[in-house]
Amino acid sequence: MRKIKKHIGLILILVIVIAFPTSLSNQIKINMRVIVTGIAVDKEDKNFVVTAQIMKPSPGVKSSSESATIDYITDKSETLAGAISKLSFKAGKTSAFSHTNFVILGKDMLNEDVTESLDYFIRDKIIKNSALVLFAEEKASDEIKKTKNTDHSVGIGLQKVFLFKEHESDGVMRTMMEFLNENQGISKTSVVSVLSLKSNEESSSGSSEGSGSSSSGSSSGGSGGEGGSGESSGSSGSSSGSGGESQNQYFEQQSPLMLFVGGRYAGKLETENEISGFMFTNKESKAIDVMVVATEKERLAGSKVEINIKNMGCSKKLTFEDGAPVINIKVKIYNAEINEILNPEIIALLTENEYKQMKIDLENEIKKRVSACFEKSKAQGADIFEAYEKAYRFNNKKFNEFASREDFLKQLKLNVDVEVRKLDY
Amino acid sequence: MSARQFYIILFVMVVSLKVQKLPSLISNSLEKDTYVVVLAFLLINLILICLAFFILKKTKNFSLENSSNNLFLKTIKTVLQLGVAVYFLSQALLLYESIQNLFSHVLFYELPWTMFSLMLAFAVFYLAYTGIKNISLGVELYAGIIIAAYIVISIFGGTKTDFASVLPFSTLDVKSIFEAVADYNIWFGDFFLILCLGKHTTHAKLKWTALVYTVAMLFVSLLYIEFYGIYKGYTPMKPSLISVLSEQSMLGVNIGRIDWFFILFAEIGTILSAGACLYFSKQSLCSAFPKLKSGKALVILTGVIYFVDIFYLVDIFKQEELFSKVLPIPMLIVKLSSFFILFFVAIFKKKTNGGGEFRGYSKANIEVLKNENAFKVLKLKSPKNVMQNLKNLTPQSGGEKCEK
Amino acid sequence: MTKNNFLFDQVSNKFVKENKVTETKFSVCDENFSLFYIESLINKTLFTSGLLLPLEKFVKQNQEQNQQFDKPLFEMVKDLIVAVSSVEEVTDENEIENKIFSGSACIVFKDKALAVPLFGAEKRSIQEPPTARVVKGPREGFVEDLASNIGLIRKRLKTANLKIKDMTIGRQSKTQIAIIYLEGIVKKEVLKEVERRLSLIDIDAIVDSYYIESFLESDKLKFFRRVGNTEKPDIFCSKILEGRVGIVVDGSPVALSVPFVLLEDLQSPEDYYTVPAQATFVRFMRFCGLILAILIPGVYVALQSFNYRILPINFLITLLSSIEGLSVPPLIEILMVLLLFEVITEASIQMPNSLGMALSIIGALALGNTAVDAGIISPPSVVLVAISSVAIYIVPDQIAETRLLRILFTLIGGIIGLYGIITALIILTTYLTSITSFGVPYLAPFAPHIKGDQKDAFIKKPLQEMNKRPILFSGKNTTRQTEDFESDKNAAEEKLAKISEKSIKNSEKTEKNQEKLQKSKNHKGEQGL
Repeated sequence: MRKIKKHIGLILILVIVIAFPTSLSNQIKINMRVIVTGIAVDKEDKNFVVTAQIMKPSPGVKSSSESATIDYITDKSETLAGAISKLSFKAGKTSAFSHTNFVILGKDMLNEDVTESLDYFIRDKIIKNSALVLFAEEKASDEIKKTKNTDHSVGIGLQKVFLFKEHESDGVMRTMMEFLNENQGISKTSVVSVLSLKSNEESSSGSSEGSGSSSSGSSSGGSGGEGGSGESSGSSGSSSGSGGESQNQYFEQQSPLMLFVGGRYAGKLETENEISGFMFTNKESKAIDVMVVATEKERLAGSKVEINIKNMGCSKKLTFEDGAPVINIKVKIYNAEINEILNPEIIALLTENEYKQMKIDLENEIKKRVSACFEKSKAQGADIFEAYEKAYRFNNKKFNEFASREDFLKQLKLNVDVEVRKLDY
Repeated sequence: MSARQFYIILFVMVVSLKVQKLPSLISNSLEKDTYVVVLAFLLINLILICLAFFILKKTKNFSLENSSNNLFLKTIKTVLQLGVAVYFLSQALLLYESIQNLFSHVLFYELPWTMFSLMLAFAVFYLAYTGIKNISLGVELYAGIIIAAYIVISIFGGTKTDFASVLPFSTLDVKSIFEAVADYNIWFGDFFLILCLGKHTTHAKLKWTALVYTVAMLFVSLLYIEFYGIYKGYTPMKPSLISVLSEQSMLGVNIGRIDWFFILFAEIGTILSAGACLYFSKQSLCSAFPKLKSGKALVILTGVIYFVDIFYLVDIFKQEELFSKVLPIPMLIVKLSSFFILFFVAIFKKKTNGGGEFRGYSKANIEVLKNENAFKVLKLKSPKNVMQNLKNLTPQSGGEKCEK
Repeated sequence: MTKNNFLFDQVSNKFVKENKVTETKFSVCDENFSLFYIESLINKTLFTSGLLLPLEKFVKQNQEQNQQFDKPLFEMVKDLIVAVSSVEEVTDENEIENKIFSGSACIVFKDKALAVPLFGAEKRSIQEPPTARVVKGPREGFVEDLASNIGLIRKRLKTANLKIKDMTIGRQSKTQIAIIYLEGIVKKEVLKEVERRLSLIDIDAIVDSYYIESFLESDKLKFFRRVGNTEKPDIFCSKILEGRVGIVVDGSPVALSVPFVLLEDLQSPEDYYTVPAQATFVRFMRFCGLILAILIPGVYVALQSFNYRILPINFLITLLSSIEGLSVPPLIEILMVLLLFEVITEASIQMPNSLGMALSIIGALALGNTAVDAGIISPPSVVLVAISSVAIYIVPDQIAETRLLRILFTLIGGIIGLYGIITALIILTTYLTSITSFGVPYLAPFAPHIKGDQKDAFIKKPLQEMNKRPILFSGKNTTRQTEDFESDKNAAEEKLAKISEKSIKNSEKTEKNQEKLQKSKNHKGEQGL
């Protein structure tokens, strides 16, 4: 024991020295790693086609906005893991997936159970389970390449963008884990945003569809990103202009929400009413713009009123009436403001009656939208308000009386209550 | 060790052992009811803790070593002590393996652990070598960081937890819970730990011990609820609770995985706990074989941990087999036998003069500390001295007249 | 005694020729005596006016008068010079040697001598020590003269309880050591141990107090010092007032104190002369600075080499850009930068002031700009090592340890990563908890946690709340101050009343039980059982 005590320092040094040569060969040389910030997955025949968005650092540059360029590498294989591992060979460096913050799945993936395809991401310990899941309306590889022409930090940080969009009720931020849990859960229903990037020309021609109200989230689409073709995969310099083919890409406002039941694609919420109806009941959504047509019969009659809801909340409760399940949704508008009244007269202040009526109109509009969302999702077999799970958790006896989830959904009814606490004007 | 150190080391050891791979294992069969196992053990162990305190009070100066000269009893004693040594070795191995698993599969994934594990083995060896007093001092020093780390991780986890996922309670399968209690008892031998820790402290009170233990177990059950509430059906796939609980809350923050530093701080408690378990194992082994020197025993035990971890526990099936099938019953027999032998000794033992020092004082006092020159500086203050001090308190003297 | 065996002859033969000892011979009525002194060590003014001139006058007077003395010559000379300074009789030759070399003038007669302390060698004036500067507070510092230092201490502690024990250590140097403590406050065991360890020192010379410090420490292979030191008399007095034993060494401006705990290095003199909240904040900053200094380079290397996944994406991109094209691995790069900083630090200490500007230009331009542009090192490594190098000086007394530890942690971080840093941290703290300084745990009052001593640990409480001395150091007298005598007395009386109530109740109970027992015995007796 004395000898050990005497030489304890020496033993420690020996341990370090033994580890030293091993560590030198096992260090992660991060300059021999290519950082993958996003992945797009498509299916072609029976192969997985994976497109990775990679960061290429520019040597000797100081600020982070200039210090890396976005590039894309694509490869395919029978399995997702195989395709991803092949990407390293293409890049000439090991792919590092620890900073992958979004995964886009293409239209072709919708033909099968998506959760099976995502099995690789769950098992792999490197890729975060908190990566954002998005779907593309066509090919995911096309969509991911468009992100290059958005603002630099937007292009690599879609997760932050969608967090913001969800807060502003313009999209849904679903992480891989949440998506899988929801699909494997009791209600087996999940809602995911569609990633839709359009250039200025495209967005102006397409903006008339279902976008009667402006969403405050739409302006977050991208403010920089000049130059660089959205299609090319070999160009460098995303922020310096290089040629006239490139177009700035912006996020389409209120892009559709895809419904998944048990991992399989069930349908979409496409119209503004359906999308915003879902947003009113989404706990992460706090702000939204609503256009209401005033029903007041005198001054305001027929006027379009733009109301900006700054803070809202929602609670859902399941009850049973005559054996039939009823999902009671209470939407609480904590703070709203009348932004604009489209009326020939300049109406400075509302009268008391007008004000009360305006509140009622807002409540009715919200109810209408929530009902629209509910009906559409019910028709597609999606339990969008997780009523079935609530029944299981909070009223297990009644839950057991139903033969199946479909049986429950058939009988499910909706009851919406809206409380507007504060409406400024 | 002082009472404060005892409570802290108890909390840290109880929590650190249970927040590694265990919830993933239990949730494979119990899913949302994983936390119920913790609550079940809480109830069982609370009763046993009361008995443990009774034993400690009565048998302070008693140990199995000097119990009897009868050959048969000596053999039983040796076997039991060997069993206790194996039990604590298994605890140390559990903790060691979980630390190695965390670092090798989560933070690192390319390093050859045959080499790198040496550092951890040395750390655990050194901790056990310096003794339980220094381990408890270390735990006391890091207490704030470790407990704060656990709290921060649980808060991060709580922001993303669906707490309703543990409902409904009506679907509790009592049979499965009992099976889990039997299968996983090796992780929940806290009453035995208290018995062993209690021998090294003189001022712990039953009510505070029970409170600390209850808080620790309730905290663990909260973490289990959060774990299931975040990952639900995917909990069995997760390597360890502590490494994944805060992962989902770092969305969009753009400060990297800062929660990893909290995980590392929490793992400090795990390493210290592994050192403590190794120390107890060494003590038992040396008691079983008095001719075996302390240093050699420690080297042997550390070597066993290292090699078993690197070469045997590489296979996850072997891990499960060892800790869920092979060890639980024998270790339970060892724990309960030792426990109840001491219990019966406590009942029938005659009261000795002084009745031992385990009286449960209300104030934590400073202990005797010795340096290599047998240089006693601090002394234990008994209530008698305190009373005397109060009587002698006069303003003119400017202070207490303490009697040594 | 023959002529050559007279004491003054022996002394003369031994010292005068090669030791620069001046001898002045005197003769009065056929009795000879000599005055021995070393010119460079004595106070010349005092010597001339107080000793030499009176002696010469005395000799001249007696030669003229040529009369017999009533008293022995020795006594007469002694009476003559007693007014100058305290005079000591010595008979031993070695003692005379010590006195002469200690700055005394010795009047040596046939068989005995008179030693007159007249030490007046050149000494440094009292000034603010460079290692303990304060904005507010006393600026006096110890000097190399023991007597001056003791004077500075006595000035602050005007009590008879202040005890000073002298010792002489060093075969050649015969250095004076003073052990200083407060009677009634100090722990006797610590004092005895200090004396014991000092008495065991057998060395040629004690050049500086560091020599004493080395011998006082029990661990030969020490890395962390176990003896406190200070150059300021106010700090020294504060430590003694807490119950420590102080050691002052002649020839050294650094005074020692034992026992020592690591917390002392986190405390600064200025903490006691400023608002407590500020002192708390600054202590916290010092602790953070210490941690930063030790860990930052290691953590950076670990993150880059093994744990890049923890880094935020933007920083990772910047890092990748900055290390692109570097030819050395991050561990070697950081070690190179550390080494460069160490070289610059050492050079700046030794370099003449006139060249200081040139060095700062070389350091700033060469390291800061050119090396980075040349791709030898990367900007983040320069920044982080610079932060670490500056943070080292936040705790001046731990500079040596911090410098070495940061290199160790850098190596560990580069070899094993964050996991290695965490395990090394645990090993380090376990080692720190296992060491003691004269029986006091090194990490007290944190480990073990001592509630009463927390008032002056991280959080600095106001002076009015610090009523008790630290439990670890003080002996019997633990009260520094009483806040309010009446309330203290009342509180004590209340406690006593409660205890006596309890004891009365208990005694009543036992009496009742005894009565019952007696009754039952009697009852059994009656029944013939």
